[in-house]
Amino acid sequence: MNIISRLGLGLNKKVVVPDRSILLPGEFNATVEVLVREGIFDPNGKVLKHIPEKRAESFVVQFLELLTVQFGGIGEVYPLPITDIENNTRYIQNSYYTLNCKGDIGDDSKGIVVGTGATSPTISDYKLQTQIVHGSGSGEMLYGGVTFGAPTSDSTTSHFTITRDFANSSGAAIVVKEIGLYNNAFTLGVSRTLGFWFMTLHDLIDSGSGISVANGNTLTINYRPSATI
Amino acid sequence: MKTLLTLAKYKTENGVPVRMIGKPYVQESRSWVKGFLQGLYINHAELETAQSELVNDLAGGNLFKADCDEPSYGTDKSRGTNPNLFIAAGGGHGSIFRVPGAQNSSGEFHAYNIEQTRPFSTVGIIVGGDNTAVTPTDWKLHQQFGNGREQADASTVSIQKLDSATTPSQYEAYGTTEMVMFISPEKHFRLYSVKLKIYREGSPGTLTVKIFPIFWGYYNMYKLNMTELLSQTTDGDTLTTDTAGEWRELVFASQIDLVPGYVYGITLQAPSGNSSNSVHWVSRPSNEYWKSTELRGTSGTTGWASISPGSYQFYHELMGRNPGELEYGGVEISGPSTSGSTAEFNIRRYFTNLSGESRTVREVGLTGVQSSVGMTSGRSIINILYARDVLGTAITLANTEILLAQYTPKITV
Repeated sequence: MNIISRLGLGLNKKVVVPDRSILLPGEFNATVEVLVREGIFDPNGKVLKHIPEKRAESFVVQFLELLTVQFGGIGEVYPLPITDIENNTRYIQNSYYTLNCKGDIGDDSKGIVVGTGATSPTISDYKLQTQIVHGSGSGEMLYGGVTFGAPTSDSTTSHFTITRDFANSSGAAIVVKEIGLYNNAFTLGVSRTLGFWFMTLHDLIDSGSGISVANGNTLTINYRPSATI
Repeated sequence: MKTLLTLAKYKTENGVPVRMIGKPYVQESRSWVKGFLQGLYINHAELETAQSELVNDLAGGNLFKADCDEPSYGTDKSRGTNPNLFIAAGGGHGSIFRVPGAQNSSGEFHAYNIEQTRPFSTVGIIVGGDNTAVTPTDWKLHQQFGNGREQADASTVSIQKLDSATTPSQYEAYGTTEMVMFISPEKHFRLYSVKLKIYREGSPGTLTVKIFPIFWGYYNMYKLNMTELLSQTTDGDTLTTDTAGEWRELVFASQIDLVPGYVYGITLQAPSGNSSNSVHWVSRPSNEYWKSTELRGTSGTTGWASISPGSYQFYHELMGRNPGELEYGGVEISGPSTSGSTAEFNIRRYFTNLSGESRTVREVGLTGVQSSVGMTSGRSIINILYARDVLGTAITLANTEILLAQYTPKITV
């Protein structure tokens, strides 16, 4: 019961819950910020909608598995089985490129990815529920290149930023409800290494209500892996 | 991701743990620091050499250029021994080593060089005795216990000394010509002063001694950067002129912790001197391992060159204090495992106290290995601190007892 009710003031005020959820002390997590701007990939486009930075919901099990591969120096003769985004078990070894999420323009297999699914994430999710693929056809969005903000820190928190723009030139509005992060890792093939993709983060936008991106506008996602002492 | 830190003590008989002492101490870890975010960032962004991230490392907090190593040979560069984010060191006095490599056109894995190594005690879970509060930019434990069985030094003692009855030689420093003696610590210790066996010719004036971190990539040796870790001066005009030299001590105003596996350079300068007014550093001929080899260079430049015709070692003594040692076990990683909406894995390490005295642990940390390119050239590996925790309750380990330290990173959806 809030103070206004206890005082019997009878005010019909809505209690406003801050949009922004911060990390708890000692937590390593990611925060997510979502914006919609006017224009196609226009960095100066007017901001039409903004969901401020909030605590991300879910690192999934593949994140711990890929971390284990690197932490443990797991090699090609005794690799670790991990489920990729196509629900195949891949036997993963440590590599120069493990956890690489530097997706290029048009690459919807790596980096931040978006979709229309609204089912709550689970620990064992291995892909988005319903991914929006790259393109300008119906239900498609143009994937920009992934960019990065270098690590920085203040008195309590360290973080870096992963950013990607998604432009809608499909001809109709698209409601984006889920976001994820797809990363590279490698297994030893017959004649050379083979790269596959693994999801490490899976989140819903606005608890699954999503955010509508009108035709001609651009969605920007900022993922910010962070640690607070 | 929340992380639990668990510590437990075990009583031993004949060196074998027989039972836990009391209950495990558990606290929520508060400790992922900037170095961990940097390690993730480097791999997420596939940073190449030209874009490398400047990171602090264990040896003096020096800035290194860290990246995703990309060897310039081979057709399949994704197949290699990438040390980035590696923490699973072995136990005892051994070292990890880096083997960069790639696959050639015949489909064979080709190991290029075995480059710099790092002692096991600098990789993985580490423990220490200081309880200074954690900050996001911590780059080391404040007082790490090294690997071994030695007791703590209550006062400053001689840690390492190079002296010999061999008929000595000498080389002089004056003006912009400086001498450097490379040292490689044999143990973790805090450096308080150095003693150099030197004598004067004429009046060399004020002498300056500096300690530099050295980047050791391939076969070349460079200053890591142009800023020394420590510096002190002494009056060269009061030195003996006897060519046998005298031991002159330079006590530093502050101290640094020297880390095994790293190389440091002691430089000697007589900036106001000349060829007739110089300081001479007594040395001996040597064909021993190059980490003790002396060099000569020009102050203010990035590196040095070997003195011709052969190799020599300058006589020196390092004075400091060992904070005490524990025997490090190997790092174990188990899992990950999933249960309901939670997944976790464990990182653990055992530490055995065979020093003959108690050891009080107040801080725990986690370090990883990172591929790094030198400020000028060359490639090596460095240690970055990923996590540091100060214990809410210090744990005292009696002689012969074993301490288990375990980190459990846990994610919940």
